[in-house]
Parts: sequence; C-alpha cells; structure tokens
Amino acid sequence: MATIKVYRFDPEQDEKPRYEEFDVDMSPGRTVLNLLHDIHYNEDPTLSFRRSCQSAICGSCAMHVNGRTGLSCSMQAKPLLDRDGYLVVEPMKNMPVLKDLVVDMDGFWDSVHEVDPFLQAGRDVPKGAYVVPKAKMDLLKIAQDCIMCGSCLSECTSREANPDYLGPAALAKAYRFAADERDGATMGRLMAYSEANGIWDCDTCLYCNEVCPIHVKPMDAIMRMREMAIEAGIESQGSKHAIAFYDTILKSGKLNEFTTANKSLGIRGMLRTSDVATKVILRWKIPEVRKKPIEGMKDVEKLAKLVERKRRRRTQR
Amino acid sequence: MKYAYFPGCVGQDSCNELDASTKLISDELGIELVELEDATCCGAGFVQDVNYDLALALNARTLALAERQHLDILTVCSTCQFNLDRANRELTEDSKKLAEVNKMLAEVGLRYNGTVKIKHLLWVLVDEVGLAELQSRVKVDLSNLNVASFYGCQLIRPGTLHGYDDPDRPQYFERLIEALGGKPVDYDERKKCCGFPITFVNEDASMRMNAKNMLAAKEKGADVMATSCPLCHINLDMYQGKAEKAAGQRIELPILHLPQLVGLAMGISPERLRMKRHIVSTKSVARALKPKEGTVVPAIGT
Repeated sequence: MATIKVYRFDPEQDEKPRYEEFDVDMSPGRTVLNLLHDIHYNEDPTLSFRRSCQSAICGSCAMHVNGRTGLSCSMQAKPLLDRDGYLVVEPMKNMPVLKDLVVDMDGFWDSVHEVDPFLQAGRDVPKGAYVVPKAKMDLLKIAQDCIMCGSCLSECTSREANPDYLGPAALAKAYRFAADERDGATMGRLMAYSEANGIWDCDTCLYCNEVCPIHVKPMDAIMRMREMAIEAGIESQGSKHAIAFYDTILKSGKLNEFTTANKSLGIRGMLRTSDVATKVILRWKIPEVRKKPIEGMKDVEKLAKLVERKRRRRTQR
Repeated sequence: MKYAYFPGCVGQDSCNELDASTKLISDELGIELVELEDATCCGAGFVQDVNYDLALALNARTLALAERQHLDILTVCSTCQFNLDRANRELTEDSKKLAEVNKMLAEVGLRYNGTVKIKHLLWVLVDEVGLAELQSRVKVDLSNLNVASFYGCQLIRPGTLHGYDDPDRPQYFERLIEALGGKPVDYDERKKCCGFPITFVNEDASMRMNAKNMLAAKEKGADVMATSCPLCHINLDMYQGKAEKAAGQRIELPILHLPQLVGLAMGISPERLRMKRHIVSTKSVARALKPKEGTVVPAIGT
C-alpha cells in the first residue's frame, strides 16, 4: 500500500480545491488509472474522472501526474512514486475544472473546429480512388495519429499566456489537412493560420512534442506550416521576423540582431520598445549594426544555391 | 578537456558578457576552447522556419568543421544546443539524408561522418569538470543567495534528444548551484518558456509569461536568477521593465548568465564578468557575496 494524493474540487460546493490522500495498492504494473478506479469503486464513488478504453487509444483519461500531463491508463504508478517519493494526480491545465479530475474541454474543441478539420473540395478529383503517393502521405505522419486527449494543450506555455492561441492539437490537425495533397484549400488555410493566435504564436517550447502520449509532433507540424506559408508568400508579423532573421544569415553567416529587430518591428514597433532601447543604449548593450561576414561566406552562398536547386527540382516533380 | 567552442550569435553580440565570462571560467577550470569562428548561426528555429533544408546544411557544415578538428562542440545557449543537436541527430539517424547533405558539403570541400557530440556548458561543468572540483574552486561564499535556475526550453526538451536531464524535473542547474554554495530555489517555472521566441510576434503574451516565471521564482525566495540561455536572458533582463508593466508590479530580479554565477563563486570580479552590462542592476548580488572562510579573496583579479 502507498499513498496517492488526488486533486478534489467541486465548483458548485467547494470554495477552493483541496488534495485528498488515499492509501492504495501500488504493486508494480498498476497504472494511475487503476488506482483511481480502486478509489472510485471502494472508497469514494464521488471521485470524478474521465476514462474509457484503458488501452491508450481513446484519449479520455489525460491528467497531470507528478509534473507531466499524459494518459493515466498508460502511466505506471510505482516508478513515479519511486522516482519522486510522492504521487500527485491533478486535472489537466489550461482548461477549467468541472469537477475533480474532469476538465471542460470546450475550449480545446473550439480551437480544433476553428481550423476546419476536414478535407476541402477544390481540387480536380480523379475518377475512382484518389491515390496519394506514399511519400506524400508520409508527410502527414507527424500529425495524423492524434487522439485528441488534450495533453499538449494542458502543457502549452503559449496557450497559458494567451487563451486565444489555437494551440498544438488544433494546429497539428490543421497541418494534417494543409499538407494533404487532396485538400483544395491549402492556400486559404495557410493564410488563416498565419493570422494572430495561429502558427506564429507558438513559442517553440517543445512541451507538446515532449508530452504527446502517442508521439505526434505538433510543434514540428507548426514549423512546417510556417515554411509552407513563407514559401507561398503569405505575409505576417511572424514571417516578417523569420525572413528578416534569415536574410541576415545569408548576408553575414551570423545573426544581425540590430537589422532583424529593425526590419521585423518597423518604426512603430521600435517606438513601442523605445523604453527597452533607451536602457540598452544607457548600458551600451547595443548589438553591432554592421556584422562582419564570416570567412566562409562563399560556402554559405554555395550551399544556399544547392538547396535552392534541390527545392526547385522537388516542386517541379 | 578541449572543445570546439560555439559561442552563438547573441552570446557574442548583445549578450557578449556571456562569451567573456565563459572564456574566463573555462580558462580557470582548464577547459580549452577552440572557437569555431567560421561557423554560421544555428538558425535558432527562424532559418528553419524559412528554409529547413538550408538550416540543416549550414548546421552540417558547422558539425563538419568541428569534426575536422576531432573535437566535440561546446555551446552556451539552449537554442544553439537544440538546433545543432537536432541536426546532428537527423543526420546520424538517417543515412540517406546524411549522404544527400554530404553531396552538398563536398562542393565546399567538407564532409561530415557523424562523430561529433554537442554539449552545453552546464552539462560539461557538472559531468566533466565535476561538482567536487567546482566545490574545491569556490572562493566566495554564496550562501546568502537563493538562486533560481532558468533552463530555457530547448535545453531540457525533448528529453529523448539530449538525454541529460529529466525534462519533468531537471536537476543539473540545481546541483551546480549547490556545489557553488548557493541555495537553489525549487520552483516549477524554471522549466517553462521565457517568452522570447514570440516577443516580436505577440509581446503581450510574451511579457505575461516572462513576469509569471520571475514572480514565481521570487515568491519562492529567489534573490537572483541564473540562466543557461542568452535568449532567455534578453527577455528576463532586457525586457524585465516591460514584464513589470504587464504584471503591474515591480520584479527587480537580477539575472545572471550561468558562467557569471560560476565566475562569482570562483572569485572573479563582477566587473570582469561584465555584469555592468545588464539592464537590471546586479548590485544586490555583489553585495551579498562574502569571502569564504579561509580563502584569500579576490584571488582572480578585480
């Protein structure tokens, strides 16, 4: 037997959340969900949590356990207890608690619906089956297995600071269609996703890739859409910054912080940050205005040319 | 200990105190740094956003430059660490991709065989210099300081890439702070994002993150924060005034670079560690330092 601490909160009755301790059988092999079942069936039937398949495929039982969100049905309890000396089960974050470990996932679903998560008409559809080459289908691998459990959104640092940000699950789903050869709305999608609270609001903290229980890579999907949007010539604050950064690398091999800030913020943006700029000047923390190019600039130019040639060949295919 | 040193663009420019302090402590600790002067930027994710393949080719070039000297790479930036490491992993795990990239590298007279390892200064200090050795080099008592670490996302995630710290409960920084005689602050936000990658896109959100992290550290008693990433340093230090505005309260938390903290403990003066360059005053840190009993201080220049 060992002690598990469980988050309890009933907004209709309780003033604030509390943690309740239960002594449970934590033999090796038992999952966190097994323990919650024990409590629910044997000790306190009012303990609320979502679960269904118990096989890490339905995506119902995501919770925050010892510092990480994941599926409680695929988390072994004992190793966590041994590692940390405690076992604490909490509801997912970034979503309001309905009761105990059950969160309101409306915000999650709203974001998913916002990206139009289904194939759009608009392409010439061949008669019979629409056969997509394997290489093209492989592009979707990083996103297509999502089971919509919400783990990534729970840990998303950008969503935490900005509830309007679409978040990793919705954007992974967005990529799954934007990169699908059969989709007829790729351009429109990329334009919509490039607006505020879309692909450029990801802070690349890598939490989503890290916690996804089935190894979907939402951040990688977001990065690929950024590249697709830039290739399609879609302008946004984010693309402006990335291109300004990129241009300085092609010029000197290294980042020119001054030019990048200047180009991506523009005069209005620079004025907005004038208080920062003043302090920077006072402390003489000013980045170099002209960056001395690295000796191997010829290499950089050559590699850029070779990559460009490869790209062109790929798009022609 | 000899490394191909990759100082990173920001570490040599607006945060050049990072480069200077890295060189000072490396000198003292016997870490020989052979600077990769001809290397390009790691791409920081932004070159990757525009042209992933080019970023990969440029990073392969950097790896090849280090390999030519038979050296592993030492980074002092969480973002450089991630981007170089990710490129390295991609090339070493996918022989087809490596062959493709090598075809391009051949045109600039280079080749990469996949033998280089990329290590952050934090890991080298803890694992290779060793905590006992560091402890023996401490000349200044930091016991008056509660030090909050700030890792920078890309140094701890993805855990499967780096393989050093447990991304859920990183400890390298804490162990280092302890060995130096400081008191590590236990707070969860040390694993979070500083916000800098979106400062140019959504400054409000970035500043909310920034303030929340620092206030969480202060609530747990932090007197000073130390970071292993110069990009985090920009947000935490340079933009702290803006974070204060976002939070509607003063923060006033001095922010050190990792090697500055090590340098202070070893008796290197704040001036030589270029702490005057910081936007948030570090005077409170300097005031809290006292000579360690039984040592002659300052041993290493003033």
